Amino acid sequence: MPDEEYSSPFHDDVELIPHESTLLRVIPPTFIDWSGSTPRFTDGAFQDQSEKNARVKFDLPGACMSAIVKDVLTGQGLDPSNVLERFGPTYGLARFPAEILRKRCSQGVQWDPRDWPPGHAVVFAKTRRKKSEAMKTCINEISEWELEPQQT
Amino acid sequence: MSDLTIDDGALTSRDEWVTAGLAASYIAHAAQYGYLVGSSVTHQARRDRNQWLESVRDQILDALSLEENWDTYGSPPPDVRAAERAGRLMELVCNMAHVLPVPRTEGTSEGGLSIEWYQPDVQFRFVLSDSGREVVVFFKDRTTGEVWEGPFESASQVIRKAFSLLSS
Repeated sequence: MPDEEYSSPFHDDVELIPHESTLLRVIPPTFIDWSGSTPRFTDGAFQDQSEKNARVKFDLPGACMSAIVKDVLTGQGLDPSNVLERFGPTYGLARFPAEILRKRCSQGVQWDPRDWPPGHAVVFAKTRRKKSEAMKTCINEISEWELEPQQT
Repeated sequence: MSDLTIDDGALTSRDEWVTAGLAASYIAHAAQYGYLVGSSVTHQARRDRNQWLESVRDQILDALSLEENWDTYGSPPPDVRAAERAGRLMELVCNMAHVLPVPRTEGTSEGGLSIEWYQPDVQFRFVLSDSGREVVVFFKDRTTGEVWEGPFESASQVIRKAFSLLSS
């Protein structure tokens, strides 16, 4: 349900983060469902941080969620597993393709470099202020495990 | 307009919510099933219902115990007001459909709660704001491709449809 008048304050950095990019997202154990035969990340894993949080803590213009551009990370000689070293084995790492994220889930990706992790970017909803429930589900459906977590 | 409503509450602390929730649950069960005490079928139904509500409440309480930055993305812990409303909502759900699986409860990045039933073909959830006042309902039927998202107040049809699918 897009807001027709909405104009996102973010910029979709298609040149810096091209369609063929793979994005990574750290999945905390609170968003991992172990009730099936394999771990499943829930849709909550793909929710935006609050607009207030984004503005106050990270000087970002609105609600969005963190991601890592895999090519940038590996281009600096790092492995995706290095990202999880700061969190522990109960955390997982999901991956999703930038092109499908943009086209199917109505998201944009803005470059947001930080000291850590290399390749940090933010994923934002292009048609509304924050991700709808359907958008979270969409991102979940195009995602796979890059690194599966260990059960607590 | 929906014929479903969540009662308002005036509880302010986690302990109050737990105590009142358990008491209200006990009284409701006694009132509902009291006239059939002695029936083994009814005792089983009551046990199932109590276990279901306890399981859901345990998850809500677990969510309340989350600390600041629980998701590593700087989110606040769930608000006790969201938990109160979630508890009342689940009592309503329990009255509507006794044979639902136990849902999964998670915190949201804005201090609210998400309560979700997930099956490979059907996905359904309530997402409560930090105040518990706004409740978004999301439904996806992967067999038909139907997706519905909107406010609780206009979701009575889709709620019944989801519960029918989830309990079948």
